[in-house]
Amino acid sequence: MTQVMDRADDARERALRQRVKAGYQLEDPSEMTPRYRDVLVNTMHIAADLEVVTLPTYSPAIRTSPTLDDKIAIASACQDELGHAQVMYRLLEEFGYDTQSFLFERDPQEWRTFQMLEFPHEDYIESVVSMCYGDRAGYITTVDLEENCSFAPFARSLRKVNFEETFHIGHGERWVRFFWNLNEKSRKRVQQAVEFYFPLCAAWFGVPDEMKKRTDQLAYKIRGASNDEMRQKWLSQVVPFSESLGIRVPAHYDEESGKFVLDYEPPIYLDEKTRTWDYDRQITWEEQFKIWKKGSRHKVPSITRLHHEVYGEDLW
Amino acid sequence: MSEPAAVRKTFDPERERGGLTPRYYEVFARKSSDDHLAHVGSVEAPNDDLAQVRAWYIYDQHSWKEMCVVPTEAIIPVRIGKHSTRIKMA
Repeated sequence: MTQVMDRADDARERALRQRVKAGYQLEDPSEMTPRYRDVLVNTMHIAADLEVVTLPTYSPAIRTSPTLDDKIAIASACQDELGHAQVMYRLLEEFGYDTQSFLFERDPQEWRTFQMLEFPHEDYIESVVSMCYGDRAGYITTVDLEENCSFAPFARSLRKVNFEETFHIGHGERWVRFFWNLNEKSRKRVQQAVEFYFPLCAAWFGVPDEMKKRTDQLAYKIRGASNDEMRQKWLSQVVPFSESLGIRVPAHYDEESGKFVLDYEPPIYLDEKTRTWDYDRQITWEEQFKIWKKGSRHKVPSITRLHHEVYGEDLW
Repeated sequence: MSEPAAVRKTFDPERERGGLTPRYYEVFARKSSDDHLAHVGSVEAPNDDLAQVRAWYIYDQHSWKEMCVVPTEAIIPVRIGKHSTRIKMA
């Protein structure tokens, strides 16, 4: 998903790649080469956008949460996510970003969002399923950045982020378990929400490694693990969790390869309106990229809502 | 989901940010009296009061024993030759 400008691969670039490979961490933008800077800023830019779009995604569930505690839990998760965004804005400002225009004046279509966070939650069960499966996918990517990112200030800033994400995942797991055991109706709803989210979360990690053309993120050690490695880590957590409860998921452990594998060949067709996947209908990667680039039908309205929400003196 | 209001938010940098140039504060905190007072991050704020509020709301991952904010411009980096030892962003 990264869009890095083609830059000359001069000796300085190669030297920096070698230094970070040996474990060197950069502390200051003045140490960066143009290519390093591009790929780092791009990574932080996407990370910031993804934190913010959790707000219009999760907030509708505040209204439909069954108890006051649940409402507080969702609101508190939203506050955490906006805190994470603020930390990233602070970093981006060091690279010439203006937070005000970045957040409030940028064309919603220009936002770099991922499909997993483009569908406003219809109820609380969807929110807890999303925390259990989706926040875990996000957490795996941000933990990888914290542990491996060669730009030390970004790695450090993620300590707080990851510490808080563990609460969201724990909250999701507890309540998925609760609703799975509550009654027939809630169990059915959990299964339905998992069926919608599972392929979205599996796609969170991006295209399969063999398709990846730009590898600067790994070459400059902005992150440590490849798309497939992170996807495997996610599967190794969610498949056993789901199976322990009896939730059906389209993936299994393959004894022969010793790996978790998907039961379908991505990309597959998603009916956005009914929120159902057609496992028998494969689409091409070109079609998939087009869908990802455009965003779901909720993307622009959700971000527009952020731009128009009353605040400050206007609120009163 | 509620319909977006007809009017887009307007931003008054004087009122919201206290000026056209952002001001930064570094945030330090410790979890217990045995702990070091450590740099936990930074915030942008127009004045000392709002800096405290933002630091408290953004860096709320622990129930800190002590937290303080320092205007970034008040920090004098001690340099060894060309090596910068200034407070880093986060």
